Amino acid sequence: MSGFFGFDTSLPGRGAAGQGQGRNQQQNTSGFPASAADDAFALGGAGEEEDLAVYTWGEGMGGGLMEGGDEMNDETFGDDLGAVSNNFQFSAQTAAQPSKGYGHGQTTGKIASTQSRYKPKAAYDPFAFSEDDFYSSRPSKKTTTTKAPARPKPNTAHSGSVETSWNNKPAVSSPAWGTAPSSMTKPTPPPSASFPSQSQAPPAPGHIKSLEEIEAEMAQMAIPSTSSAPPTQQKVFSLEEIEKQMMEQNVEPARQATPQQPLPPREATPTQVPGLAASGYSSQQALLDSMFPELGKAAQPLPQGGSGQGTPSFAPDQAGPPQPPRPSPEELARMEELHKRITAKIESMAKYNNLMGSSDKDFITRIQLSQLATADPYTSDFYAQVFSALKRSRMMAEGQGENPTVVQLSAGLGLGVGGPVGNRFGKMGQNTMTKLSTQVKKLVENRAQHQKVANTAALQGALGRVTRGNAAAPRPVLAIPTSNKPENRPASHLNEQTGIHRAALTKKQIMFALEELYDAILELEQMRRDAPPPTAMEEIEVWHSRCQSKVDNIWRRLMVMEPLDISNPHPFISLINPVKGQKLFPRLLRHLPQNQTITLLSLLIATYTQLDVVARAPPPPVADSSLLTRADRLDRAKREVETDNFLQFVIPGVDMIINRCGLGLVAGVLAISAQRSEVWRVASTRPGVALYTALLSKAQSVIRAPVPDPMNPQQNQQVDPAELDQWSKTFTYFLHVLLPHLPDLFPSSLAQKAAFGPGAYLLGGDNPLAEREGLEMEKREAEVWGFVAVLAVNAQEEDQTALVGALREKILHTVQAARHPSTSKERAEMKLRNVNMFLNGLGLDASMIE
Amino acid sequence: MDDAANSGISEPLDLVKLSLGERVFIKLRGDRTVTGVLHAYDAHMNVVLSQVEETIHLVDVTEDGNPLPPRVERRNVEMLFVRGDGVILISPTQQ
Amino acid sequence: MLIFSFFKTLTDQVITVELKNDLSITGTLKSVDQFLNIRLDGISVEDPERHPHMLAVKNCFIRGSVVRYVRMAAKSVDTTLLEDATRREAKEAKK
Repeated sequence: MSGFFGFDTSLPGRGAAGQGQGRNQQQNTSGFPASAADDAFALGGAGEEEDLAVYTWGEGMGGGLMEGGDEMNDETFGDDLGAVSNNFQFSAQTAAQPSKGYGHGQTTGKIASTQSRYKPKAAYDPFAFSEDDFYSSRPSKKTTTTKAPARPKPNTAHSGSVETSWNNKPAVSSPAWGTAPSSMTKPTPPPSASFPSQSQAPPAPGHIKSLEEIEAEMAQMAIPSTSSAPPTQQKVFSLEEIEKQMMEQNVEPARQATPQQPLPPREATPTQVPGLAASGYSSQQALLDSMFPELGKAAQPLPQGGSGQGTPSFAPDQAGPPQPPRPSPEELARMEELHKRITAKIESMAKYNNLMGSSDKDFITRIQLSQLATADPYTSDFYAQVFSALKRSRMMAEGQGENPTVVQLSAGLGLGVGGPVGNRFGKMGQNTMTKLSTQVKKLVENRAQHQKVANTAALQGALGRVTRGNAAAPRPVLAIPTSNKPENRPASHLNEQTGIHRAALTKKQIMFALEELYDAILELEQMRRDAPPPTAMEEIEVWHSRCQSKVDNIWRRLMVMEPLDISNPHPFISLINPVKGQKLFPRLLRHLPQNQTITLLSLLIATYTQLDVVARAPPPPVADSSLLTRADRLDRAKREVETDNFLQFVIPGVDMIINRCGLGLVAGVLAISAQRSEVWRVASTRPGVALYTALLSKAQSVIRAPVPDPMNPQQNQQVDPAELDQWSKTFTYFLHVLLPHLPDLFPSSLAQKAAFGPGAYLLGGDNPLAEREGLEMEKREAEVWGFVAVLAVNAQEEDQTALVGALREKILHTVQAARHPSTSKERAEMKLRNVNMFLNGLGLDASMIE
Repeated sequence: MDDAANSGISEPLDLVKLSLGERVFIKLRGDRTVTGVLHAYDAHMNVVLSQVEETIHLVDVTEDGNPLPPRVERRNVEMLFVRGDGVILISPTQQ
Repeated sequence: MLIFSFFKTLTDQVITVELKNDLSITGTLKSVDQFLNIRLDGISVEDPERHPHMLAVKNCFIRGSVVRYVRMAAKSVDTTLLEDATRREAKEAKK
């Protein structure tokens, strides 16, 4: 053990060698070559407290050392042993120790390593004031170890500066957090500052040195010649420093030959300004030094000076320190200028130092890279990629009409259902309804142009004087035999397969089926995107068949082909009831072939009453919503939202399918509806009104204006008379089923009925509804007026009279209300517009009514 | 049909997937619950909800230390991200 | 990555981050990372009386793990797309 240093272990004070031995083994686990140190311990009188030596890394041991065997040390190692304290710094020694192999330095080595045990952490990194610092200063350690062996002498200086750093922790650690670089830029401290700091080091640790001693050191400092410095200072230097100098002389004689020149640079080589090192600055500085080797030499005193300033016991105005020879002044000035600029830059960036340790940064960088590296950003970053793509395309297509597909942002969904207030009419679906009413308006205008004057007169009479006749009493219901339905009616098979009954799908089954559908649709959409190039015929063939099988799969999952009465609601209706299924609807339609969409439409219409939005339609509005309980309000709000969703997601698709149908098909599906459901019940819901309006207006546009439809060339021909006949029969039946209920389709009538009982029809503008709700009410009424208008447009002359008769009171009331002084102008206009939509369809106008 | 509805469910998050686009009830740490329409979730149970109603259950204590009857505080949020580490359970709302 | 992807689209939008200590910070989302750490600019605090120390802070970096909620405008989220993205992610996770 001690043989490493060639040191005689049988020292005078070493009473308990065995103890020392045992302790030593344990202590060696700390990893430094610290054998002889134990002896020094024992020597120091700490032998009795061996437990302390093992378990305690505290300062007390150092004190014990000082107290116990100091005289002995003096005897053994010469004077000035007091320089070594428990604050002693270890790392500088490690660098030096391997290369030292002769007797003189043994004592120092021993003591140094002993001391190092008190500061295990410092042994790893002297500048690691905290764990963060420990990480950040790693590079600096590297600098030390690589450079120290090459230039041994600096270690002397280094150990000194390090010691000061330990002595003056507060002073040094503050630069570590950002201000350190500033010391670099200060050229003021004399280049020789390093010398004081080295010599200062020994006394400071234990504060043992007397003032006289310090003064003596100062005096030593004043000796101008560098070459003479080592010998003269020998007494002042700590023993280990001396030892290093000696060792250096032995190991590197070549360097030693010219000590003057390299000496100052070496002192600087471990650019270990403690603060800088701790702040992670050292790596930057090392880089800088490698860029400007000479400059590094020239500037070396600066860092040393910086640390030296922190030493309280150091006299700053010390005069005449030894001046090392340097490069030419001009060159030096130039380089210093450059260095200063770069240092300033580093300094400006240094305020970000220490936020994270370098290992933290490495760690994060690695994770970031691994996470960002992806073969397919479309998969891992799907939302952001598509979202921004959509945003771009939206911005480009701004104002080019809405696209009723997935692309739509569900903008209006923001109103919490939980909120008791809010728009109780909902907002969604207005677009669809607007579109439908525009369609109706066109038809009405078209019809108005062709209206015969004679008829107009008759109708005017009906409204002007109270005429009775067939208007008051609707005709008996027309029975349309089912056999009359068109052969090609796609849903006809549905009726044939009745008989099997089973329970409706459970909620979980519905959700599961929908998720399967969504997955299938997503796959299909992905497949469509991945279409092979149009040139690759075979691939296209394969791709087509794969898409087709996917579509078939989706079609099966939709369960449209299940028998019509298999369950209530029908499985398909179960799928379309939740908003999740409704959102799927338009996406499905884009992939289904036309015959399947028509089958789907037939099924939907046949089972329309099973839809939640029809079966559980929102109750008619009440005049005073404050009469409702909270639960009631919430329930209403929820149902309104459901209706809105249906109008937003499903009706556009329904309208699209209807628009692809010929008159025969339209007649067919209307017949299905009339046959399978109470049409007035369906028509009293918004989805019902929307459906019928779409059907009737499509039929009328086919009859009235067989304009060539670029999308459907086969519809270009004249309307088939058989189909036309079919249609008129179906329509007449439909109309007459509906006639008695027509006034009840209007939400305002229902609201007033609910509020004041039946008969409270004729109410003016002093409607208790708030104006805002009133306007909403008019909008809602417009939907119904649009529907009755399209009824009017479709109706034969005698049926028109019946229609006017049925709606007579409603018309009169609305016109009166519009003219009532208390009705707001805006609302009055809306009322007139609504009525006129209907009246114009008959060739009349509200202004004709007295 | 019953089999089909269960065959594809192999892990708990598959059940959460069934509620995508539907209103869910989420119990959170700190005596909080939220309901809202589920738009996104991940393996950490991070979720994105819309039309959210948050309910905080509070028990106030009088000056002499006696608890008052529990009271609830409600808030509505139109779009909300809930960090997964606070989530205790996610379930579809009953109706 | 789904939620990370989601938050990326909220960049430059005003959001409110509610922390687990009930502090709510509103500000413009400047950046987010995969840990859902959040950088906010131009921040304001919901309850300045309770958190006076936040008055002087103009921007901040929020560690993802201290977040309870993030509130945002409904119009800045494409819920349909988000649900699709969630389904894709769920499917990827199963592979």
